[in-house]
Amino acid sequence: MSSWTLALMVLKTLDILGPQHGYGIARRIEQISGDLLAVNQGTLYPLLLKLELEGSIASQWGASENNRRARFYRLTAAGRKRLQAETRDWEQTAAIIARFFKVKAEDLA
Amino acid sequence: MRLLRRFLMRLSNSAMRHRADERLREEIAEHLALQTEENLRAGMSSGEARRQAVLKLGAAEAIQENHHSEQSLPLIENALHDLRYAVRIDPATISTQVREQVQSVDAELPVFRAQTLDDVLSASPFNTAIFQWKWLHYLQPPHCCSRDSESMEPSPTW
Repeated sequence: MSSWTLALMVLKTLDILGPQHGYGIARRIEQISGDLLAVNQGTLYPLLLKLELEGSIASQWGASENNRRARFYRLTAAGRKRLQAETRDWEQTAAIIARFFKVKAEDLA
Repeated sequence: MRLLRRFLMRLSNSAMRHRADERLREEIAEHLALQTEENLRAGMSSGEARRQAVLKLGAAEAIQENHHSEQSLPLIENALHDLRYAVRIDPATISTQVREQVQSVDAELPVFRAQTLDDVLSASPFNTAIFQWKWLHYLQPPHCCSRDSESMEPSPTW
């Protein structure tokens, strides 16, 4: 999975579920994918830091459901805007690729 | 413009490296703790739960290093590190090092002075053979030489 794809999943997860800690994001992504995706957790935290530096997400320390100290991430306005743009791009790309998969030789004659 | 913004961002990350590293370390530790708790709830022993959590996360040091190399400017950081090291050197240390160097050169000087032209010339095996032959000829007592010892005179062309 490319870091761009993972970034898109992270942004969408935060958009749907609201603030989450890193571990929660990883678990939710796995859950949403029907456990078909195993997030490489080692790449998640650097990505979260990168997204934060870019201004797409913001974070603050809080308490997890087990009363552990954890850093919670939330989507920013810039992140929401970016998510919309990325979603549009993704849908366009997916539609183009889908056309390529469906095309037959006689369709082009 | 985008490149400039990225460069400035990396520069600021380099300046705040310690803070970012610390935060990443804390987050990884929290993640491991949460994953270990979940593994314990799934019925694993405490040792196995921790081991599985570490395996699932991957090498923490490598994660930090990758993140650091992607988000900062290692080249500039290394240059600054070298510069800091150079500035920190104590003048007393420098003078000690210079004195040691001078002493080591001085210790070699008598050996160099002791070398005469003959010593230098005799360093060549060919020249050594010539000199030995010449000196043997002149130093030999007359009784040990043959009657036609005059013929043993080395040629002036040598």
